[in-house]
Amino acid sequence: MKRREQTEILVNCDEVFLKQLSDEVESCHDVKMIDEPGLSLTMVKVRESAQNSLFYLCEVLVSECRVQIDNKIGIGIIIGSEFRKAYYLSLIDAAYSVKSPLIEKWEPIIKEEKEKQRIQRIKANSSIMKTKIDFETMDVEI
Amino acid sequence: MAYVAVKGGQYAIEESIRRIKYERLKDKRFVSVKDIQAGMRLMIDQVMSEASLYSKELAAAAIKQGEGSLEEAVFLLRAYRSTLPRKYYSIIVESDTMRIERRISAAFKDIPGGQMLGTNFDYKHRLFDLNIENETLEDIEKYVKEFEDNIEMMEGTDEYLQFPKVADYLRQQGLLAEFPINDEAPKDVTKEQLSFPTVRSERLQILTRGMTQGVNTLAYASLRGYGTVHPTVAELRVGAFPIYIADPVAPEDEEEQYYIGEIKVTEVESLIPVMVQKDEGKKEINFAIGYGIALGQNETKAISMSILDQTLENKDSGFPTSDEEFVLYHIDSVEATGFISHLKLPHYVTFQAKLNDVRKIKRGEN
Repeated sequence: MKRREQTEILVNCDEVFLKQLSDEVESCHDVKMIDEPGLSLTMVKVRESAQNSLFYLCEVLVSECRVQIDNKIGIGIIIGSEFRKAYYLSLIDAAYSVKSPLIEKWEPIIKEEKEKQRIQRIKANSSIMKTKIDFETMDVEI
Repeated sequence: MAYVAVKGGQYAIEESIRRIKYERLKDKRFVSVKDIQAGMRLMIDQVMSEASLYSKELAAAAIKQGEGSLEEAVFLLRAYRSTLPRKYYSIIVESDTMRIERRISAAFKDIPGGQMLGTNFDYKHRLFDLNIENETLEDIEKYVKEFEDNIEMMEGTDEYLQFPKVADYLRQQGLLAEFPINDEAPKDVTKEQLSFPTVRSERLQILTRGMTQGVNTLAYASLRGYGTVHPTVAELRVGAFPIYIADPVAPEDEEEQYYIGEIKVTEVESLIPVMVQKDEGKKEINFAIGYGIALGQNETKAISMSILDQTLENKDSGFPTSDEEFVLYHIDSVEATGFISHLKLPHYVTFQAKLNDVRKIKRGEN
């Protein structure tokens, strides 16, 4: 699983799930802290849809942490003040970077999380779709 | 005229500052940041939008510290953001990646994918609910449970509600000009001083972080005759943009990007009739799009921005709402409220000089 798909799932997982995975990383690998979890900003660049040009919409507060396993860096970065999640994500990212044997074991449980999130989204969207307007033309009074 | 420093107010200032906390706490009740975050959703959206900083938790804390004063909360967030490092720029957010929660059109009844009202006050009777004063945690839990139990998985519902833009339909019919993809690096008003004439990226950045009531006021003035723009909302969307950043090691590799979460925004495309110059001096009526976007659910502001986007595109109309210096210099919350409120700070020396001038004139001196 590539990082884009992996982070799309992991960022939306709860802390307990992420801690389970990161505990396994800590017990299997020698982890060195590079940057303690801290706050920083990410500037959001948007393409406006009127003239297809770019502009800066806003900055987003993010929590970020960096760790190292062997000679590979793991980055955990997430919107909000989420130091613990940023730390867990950095350990998991580092495990993927060093191609840890844990990855193979994680694959099915991460896919299970992906499926849970898919169902939650469909449920949330089903609620939104209840507000879809069913236009009917009213009778015209003469 | 020089400024003269004075002293003697230090004790008074310290006591005045102590009173701020006392005023907030004297009833021995408090509202937690989590409570503000849970119950003041739209206020938080407004503060984030004007501060140009997306952080619900910080916006809630700023509202608490500012005792509900939005200008104070925006000021606090703008000041705080200047202390944080900006380490990343996002991958370009494309408008069609929005996960939609609400989508309406005032221009067309039937739009591909349909219109979803989502969450909004538009069709609610604005009757004051006196029972809200007595709402209990038990009531809340009961309502939430009933609501959630009532959600049935609707067959055929997508995981991501994403639909084509209404404006695309008009483009296909040749009623809207096509613009090629423009990847020119945007200017950043937080890094560079504004100079006139501005570029589009500067205008959009200033408008989206503009003071909500200021943006609304100028857009309304434009509608009432102090401008030429009267739009029809082609589409208003509320939803979430996913945000990605590049892998520092392999910035070109899309598959290695980091997803960092999502931000909720309101996006508006307004249709505005414009005259287009054709061959042999002929003119033809066509449509242009006014673009508006604001953090959170901030619908009036996003519509207003779409109006001002167009008034500023037509700089020669002669109306104040087309004067970019007039619009862009006066809608920023920190600049406008900061300048106005400085007027109550001591101006003893400057006022004495004015007073002397008036006395001289009264005495018949030059």
